[in-house]
Amino acid sequence: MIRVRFADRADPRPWGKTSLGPGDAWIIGVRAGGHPLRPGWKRLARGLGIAGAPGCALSAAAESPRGACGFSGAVGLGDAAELTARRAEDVGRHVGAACCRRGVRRVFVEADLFPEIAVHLAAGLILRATPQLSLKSRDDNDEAPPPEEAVILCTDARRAEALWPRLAAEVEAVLWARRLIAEPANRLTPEAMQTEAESLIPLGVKVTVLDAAALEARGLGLLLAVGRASAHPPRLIAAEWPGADPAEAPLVLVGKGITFDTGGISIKPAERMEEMKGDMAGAAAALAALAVAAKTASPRRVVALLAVAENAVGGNATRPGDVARACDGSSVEIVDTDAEGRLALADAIAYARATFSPALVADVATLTGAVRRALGTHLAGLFANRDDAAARLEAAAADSGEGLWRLPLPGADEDALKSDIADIKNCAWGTVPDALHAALFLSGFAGETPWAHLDIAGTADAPADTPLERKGPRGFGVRLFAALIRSLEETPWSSTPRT
Amino acid sequence: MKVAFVQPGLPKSGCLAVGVLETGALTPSAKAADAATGGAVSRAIAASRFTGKAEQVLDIVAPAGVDLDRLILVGLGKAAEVDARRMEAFGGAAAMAAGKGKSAELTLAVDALAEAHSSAALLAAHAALGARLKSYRFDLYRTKQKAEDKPTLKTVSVAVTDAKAAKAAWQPLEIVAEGVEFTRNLVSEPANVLSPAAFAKIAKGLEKYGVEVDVLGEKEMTKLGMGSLLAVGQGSDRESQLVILRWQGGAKDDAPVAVVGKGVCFDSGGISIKPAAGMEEMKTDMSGAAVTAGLLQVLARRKAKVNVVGILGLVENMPSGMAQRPGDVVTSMSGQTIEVINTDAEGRLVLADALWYAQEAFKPKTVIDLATLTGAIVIALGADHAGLFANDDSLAKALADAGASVGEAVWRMPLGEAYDELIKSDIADMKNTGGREAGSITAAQFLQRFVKPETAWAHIDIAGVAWMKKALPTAPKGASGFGVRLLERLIADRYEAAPLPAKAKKAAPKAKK
Repeated sequence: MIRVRFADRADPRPWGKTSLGPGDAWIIGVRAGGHPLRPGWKRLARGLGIAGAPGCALSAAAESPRGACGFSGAVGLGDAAELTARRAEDVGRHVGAACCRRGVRRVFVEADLFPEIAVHLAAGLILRATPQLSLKSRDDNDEAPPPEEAVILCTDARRAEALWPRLAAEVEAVLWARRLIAEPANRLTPEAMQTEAESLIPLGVKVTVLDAAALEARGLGLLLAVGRASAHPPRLIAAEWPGADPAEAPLVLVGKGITFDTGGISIKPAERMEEMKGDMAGAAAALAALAVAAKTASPRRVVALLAVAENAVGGNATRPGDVARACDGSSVEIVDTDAEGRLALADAIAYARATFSPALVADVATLTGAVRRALGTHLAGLFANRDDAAARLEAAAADSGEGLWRLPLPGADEDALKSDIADIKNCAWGTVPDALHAALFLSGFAGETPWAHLDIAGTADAPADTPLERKGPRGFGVRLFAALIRSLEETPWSSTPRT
Repeated sequence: MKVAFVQPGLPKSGCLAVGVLETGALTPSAKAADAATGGAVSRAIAASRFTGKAEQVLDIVAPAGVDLDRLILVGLGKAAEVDARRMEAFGGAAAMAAGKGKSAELTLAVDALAEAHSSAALLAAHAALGARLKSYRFDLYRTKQKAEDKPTLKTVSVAVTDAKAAKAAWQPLEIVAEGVEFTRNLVSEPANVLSPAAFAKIAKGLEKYGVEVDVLGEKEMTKLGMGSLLAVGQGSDRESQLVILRWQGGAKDDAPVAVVGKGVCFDSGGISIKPAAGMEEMKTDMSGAAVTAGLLQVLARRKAKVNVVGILGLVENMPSGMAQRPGDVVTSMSGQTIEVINTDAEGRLVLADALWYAQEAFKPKTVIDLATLTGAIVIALGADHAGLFANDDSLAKALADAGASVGEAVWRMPLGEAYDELIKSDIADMKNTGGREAGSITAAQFLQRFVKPETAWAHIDIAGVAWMKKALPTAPKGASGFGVRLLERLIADRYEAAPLPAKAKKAAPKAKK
């Protein structure tokens, strides 16, 4: 991870032992509305065309406010009143993007920042500057590597340093989730996903795995049906952070972990099928959020429950029309083997209820193309069986900047999933609200347990490089769940006002 | 269908419908029927899977001991859940069951229930409304219907203790029912009959209720600069029309509520032509305008104390040598230019000018548009909810409340800068599609560019709810008339009841970029 330091604005030598040099950039913050700048800075800001609106520009070999260095620059901070944590992250993202364009090795950001804001600027900088996973064997000079270090000047560096580890844990978790999502499916198999989960054991996380035989024994027939044709058998991975009270009714984060989704016998078209390596983004988010709970020693008990399988084709594959049984005994007619995520999640949710008696279940999944058609790539779909559960998630979304929009569970249309042969079928055909149907399907397995479902099929990936985002996996859900855990630390679920 | 309100008691003939609660508990009228039939009701329930759940029906043909053709048991659900909507479903289910035979009369027995939300009189009026709306048929073009296929039900009598109060409660509801039927008729009419001019002529008929009606043709619209609306209609041989309906029931200087309806009398898609399968349904692409006309009829007939303007943008979207092409740039009445990427995203082009005209001409306090606008809303919300977009939270809330109370549910969808980005054009101020994703939201963003910031505005995308593939509790399949009752209720509750409270305007939550 890009190193971050905080320095006091008054510090005469914020560069420490290594003096300013050609790889360094000095970037000043410019507030909107003609906020006064130091005399030398005015010309810089004007020359770079930064007047306070969001954006960052660098100039090579220009005169730096603090002496000679490779680049000097300016970044717009917006209105002073609006410099919230969220806005500071965007400022940091602009800085990160500009540094990557110019090959900056070390970046200094100088503005009148309170430490609470400065840490968020640092987080944004890292999240934008850190490249996505690359397996290239040669440097193709497409883009310079990100800076090695960022130094953020603020009003109280010690305070910022104290605040930073918590946020750094979130940032690190996001980067981890992004890497897992970007990993090709020949490398990130269900076994490899287990190994990744087990990497948390040294932090005090308990990892329990139901392998194929155990799934069989416990009757998780839906998850087995999804994974049965793959050479890499499916598994249900429970990563548990005990919190302060291991007997507490936990928050269970259920993640869809389809390491590759061919669609099965209902096979997908070839074009862009490679993107289906990312069909485990939900599991990555749940696991990475659990890592945040562990690293920040959360007092809450949290379980990440990952339904991991590869949806492959094969002579042994599930066929359309097959009927499988979930671990709660209900039968499902699988009319479309490409509606597999809801099968894997359904078993995991039912298992979570039986095993953990959760206070709250939140599942996250790249579940339906329909949610992308409905909400695009900016907001994820939120479904819940209770208003109080939805409100918790909406608050966490607002807090984390990972946007959610609540969608309804079908009412009059609830017979859309009626099967002629089983309790329910896994989808309906035609121009149908499939995201709603998927949520309806899952709601039956959640029963009375407070439950929320996040359909992140539209938001998991950033569609293009922008100053705010790298194209590719966003790690969407990690920070949202981290914010949810924080909110449960402040107000446990048991004291949620009942609606 | 005639509706009457009578005193409780066993009718001498026809069908009788009585309610049964979810516990299997008989309502007083069900008990009376049970006694008169020597326990036939209890025996029938015991022998069947009927549990009294809402909308369950069990009918007993020619029950012994009475002169009834049919005794119909209808589930009411739990007593505490019995409200106006439940009674509409009761009336609708009873009418369907009565329609299975040849009876001419149906009596709906409505009891006073201690736990129910409303008085028995109001519940009785809504039972009548349900029967009336559910019995709707559009048989205009059936010339060879066999006698046994023709509906026989002529009279619905609602038996309730306070028949007088029930009748009084029915009067405004009957006007609503007729408005819904007027809308359903317009939506059901085929496009060869219902051209823009034919629609305008029908709208002109609202003058008899005191609605002022003005019709603008292409010449007038050209003068006004409505290049966006006119471009949609230019491929058709039929002239585009803008119909302005004004009901002045409020104070003279009170700013009106404007309702703007998309009236694409047939939408072939234009040069971006639609696939053939299912294209016949595109005769319903004028549902927004039909709802607006139906609403104005209701308000005028019940002399609503409010000023309302209805604007109908009536066009036909056809491919021809004169049709607009993908890539064309048109100039709207607002002066903003639009690159037409897809001629099948035409509804927003019509609404752009109609919305602007409504604001310029009438300075309304609120503008609500209704449109069968996007297929994407069907994928987003299905047929349970219409999509609601608004720049004003209190208006959005009021619409959601009104929808819940009349059974025309709306679900709020997001607006935000990140979506607005998607309709940027390389050559004009905007383009008319934002791509495959979030199609309903980008359509709403497009419309918002034609809404002045000070105008409280809501857009209701009714593409999923205007034409039903399945019957509803209060509608057969086909044209639902969705929106008439919703807006009638909204206007009654928000603009007629009392002066509007100080406007608490807040932008819709923004999506993160």
